Amino acid sequence: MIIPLLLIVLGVVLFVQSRRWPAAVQNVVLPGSVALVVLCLWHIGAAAQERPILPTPKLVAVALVNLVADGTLWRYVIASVFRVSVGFVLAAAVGIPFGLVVGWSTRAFTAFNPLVQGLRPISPIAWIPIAILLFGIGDGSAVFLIFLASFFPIVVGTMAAVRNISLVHVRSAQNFGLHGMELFRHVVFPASLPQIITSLRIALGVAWLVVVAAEMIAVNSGLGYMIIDARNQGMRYDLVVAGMLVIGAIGIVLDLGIRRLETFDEVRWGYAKR
Amino acid sequence: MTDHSEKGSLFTSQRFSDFPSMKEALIARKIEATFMIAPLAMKLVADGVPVRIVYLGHRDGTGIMVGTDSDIQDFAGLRGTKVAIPSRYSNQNLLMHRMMNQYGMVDGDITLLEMPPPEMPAALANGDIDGYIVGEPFCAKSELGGWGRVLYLTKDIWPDFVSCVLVVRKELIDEHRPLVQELVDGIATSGKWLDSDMVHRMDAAEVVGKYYYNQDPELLKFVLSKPPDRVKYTDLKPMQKNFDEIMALANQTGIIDKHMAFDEYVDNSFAPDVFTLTVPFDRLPMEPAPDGPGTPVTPAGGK
Amino acid sequence: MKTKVLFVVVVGLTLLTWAHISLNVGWDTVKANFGLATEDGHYSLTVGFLPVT
Repeated sequence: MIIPLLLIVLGVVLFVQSRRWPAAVQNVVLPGSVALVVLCLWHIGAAAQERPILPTPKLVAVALVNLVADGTLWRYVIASVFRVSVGFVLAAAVGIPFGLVVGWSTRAFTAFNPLVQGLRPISPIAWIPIAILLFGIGDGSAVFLIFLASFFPIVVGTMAAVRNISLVHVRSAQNFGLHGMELFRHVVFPASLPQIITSLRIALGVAWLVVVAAEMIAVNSGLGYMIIDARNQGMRYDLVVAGMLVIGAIGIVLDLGIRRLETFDEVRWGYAKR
Repeated sequence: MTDHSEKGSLFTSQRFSDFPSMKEALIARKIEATFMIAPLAMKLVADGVPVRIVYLGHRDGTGIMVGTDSDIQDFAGLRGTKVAIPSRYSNQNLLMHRMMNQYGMVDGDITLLEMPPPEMPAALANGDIDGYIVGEPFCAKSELGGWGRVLYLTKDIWPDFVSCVLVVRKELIDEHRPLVQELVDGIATSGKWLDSDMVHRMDAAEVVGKYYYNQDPELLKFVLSKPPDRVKYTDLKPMQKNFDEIMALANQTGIIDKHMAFDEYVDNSFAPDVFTLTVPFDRLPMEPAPDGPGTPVTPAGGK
Repeated sequence: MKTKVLFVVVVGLTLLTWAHISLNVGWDTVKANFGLATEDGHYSLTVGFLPVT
C-alpha cells in the first residue's frame, strides 16, 4: 500500500517539475507520469476490493506474459487485425467513390443523404442478426460489422470534403477548360483528399472500437473473443483487462500508421501546422 | 471426443457466446445442429422453424444459488427477492414457475431477471441479486468462491430436469438420417462413458476445460463429482412426460402461446438403447485432436 | 503516393490473410469452403454449443 502511494507522489512531482525541462524530456515525462499515477490508482482500487473482480496490474501483467509465451496473443492479434483491415479496406474502397459521387452531384446528395444519415447512427450490434443471416457465423459476419461501422464515417467525411471544396478552385479550373472526369481527377479529388484522410482516420478508430462486438458472433479467435470468452471462465478477469490493454495499444499503433498518410506531399497543404 | 467416426463423418463443434446468435444461425441454416435450452427449441418449432429435438444434452446440472450469509433456507424464503434466470426461454425459468406454483406464489412474488450466466456469480457476490438459477459451472463458481450456497439442486426439486437439448434441422433428418444417427450415437456413447467411471469424468473435465470450454478444469471436476449425481449423462432419450410438463409451464407463463403435441417438436427415433452401446475408448489422451481449430464434438462435461 | 499506399495495402492484406488462415482458420477449412474435398466425400457437420450445462 505504501509503495503505490509513494509512486503517486513521485508521479505528481515529476509532472510538476517537468515544466522547466526541455521539450523532448517533457514528451516522455508527461505521459509517463500520468500513466504511473493511473496504474497506482488502479492497483490501490483493485487491492481494496472485498471480492476481487478487478485484477491488479501485476496479475494482468502476468496474464499478458503468459499469453505471449504460449503464442495465443499473437494469434488473436492477427485475427482481430485481419478482420478490421479487411472490413476497413472494403469500406474505404466502396465508401470513398460513393462519397465522392454523392458529394459532387446535388441530385445524388438529395437522394442518398437522408438514407446515409438514417443508417449512420445504428450500432453495429443491432446488425448482428442480419450479419448472421447474410454471412453465417465466423469471419464473414465480423468483417461485415466492421465494414458497416467504418463505411458511414468514410462516406459522410468524403461527402462533406467534396461539398466543402472552395468554389474558387472549381471555377478557375473550369476557366482553364477542365470538365467532367478531368475536373474530378485533377481538382475535386485532390482538393478533398486531406479531409478524406481525416475521415479514414476516424473510421479506422471506429472499426477497431467495434472489434469486440464483431467477435461476439461465434468466432474462435481474436481479442474481442478473448474478452468475451474470459468472462465464461472462472476468475479470469485478468484476461479481460489484458485484452482491453492490448486493444488500446494496437489502437495507438493503427492511428500512428494511418497518420503517415497525412505526411504525403499531395495532402500536407490541407493540415494546419502547429 | 470422436473426431472422425469409423464411418468417416467429420463432426466439429462451434462454440457460441449467446443463445440469440445461436438461434439466428440455426434459423438461417448456417448450422444444422446445436445444443440449446429446451423451451427455446420448442418456441422455434412453434414459430414455424423446421427443427426437431432429437436428444438431450444431459439431465439435471442446474441449481438455485443464494448468498452464503443470506437467511434464505427454502423456496418460501425467496418471496420478495430478486433471482436471475438465464433466459425467459430456459427451463430454469419454467422451474422457478413450477416451484412458485407449488409454494402458492404468483407472478411478481419473486422478481425474475434475465442475465447472461457468466455474469451471475459476480452479481450475487456484489449483492445485485439475492439468488440465481442456472446450469453449471456457474453454480459451482459461487460455491467454490465462497460467496454462494446451493439452495437446491434440480435433482432434489425436479428430478431428471431437462436443460439443454440437441436440436437438428428437419432437412438434415429427412436427407441425412444416418448422419444424425451417427451424431446421436456418438453423444450417447460419450454419455455412457462419462457416467461409467468417475475417472472418465475427471479426464473429461481436464480435456474439455482446457481445450474446448476454456474453463478451469478444477471447476468442472467439482461440478462432475460433488455430488456425482449433480449432473447426469445417461437416460438422455427425450421422454413425453418431461416435455408435456415443460409445454404446460411454457403455456402457463406465456413464452409459448400455443399448445403443441410431443410429436410435433420431438423426434426421439434416433435415441439409441444405451445398454446395447459399447464404449470403444477408456481413458482420454490429455491433448486435443490434432487437426487445427475445428474442434471435435464433445458432449462431455456439459451440454 | 497512390502506388505506395496501394502497395502497402495489398502486401499487408495478403500477409494478414495468410497469417490468419495459417494460425486460426486452417487451410483445410478454406479448401472445404471452396468445394475442394478434404474428407474424401464424407459428410461434415457443425454442432453448436454454449459452455454452460
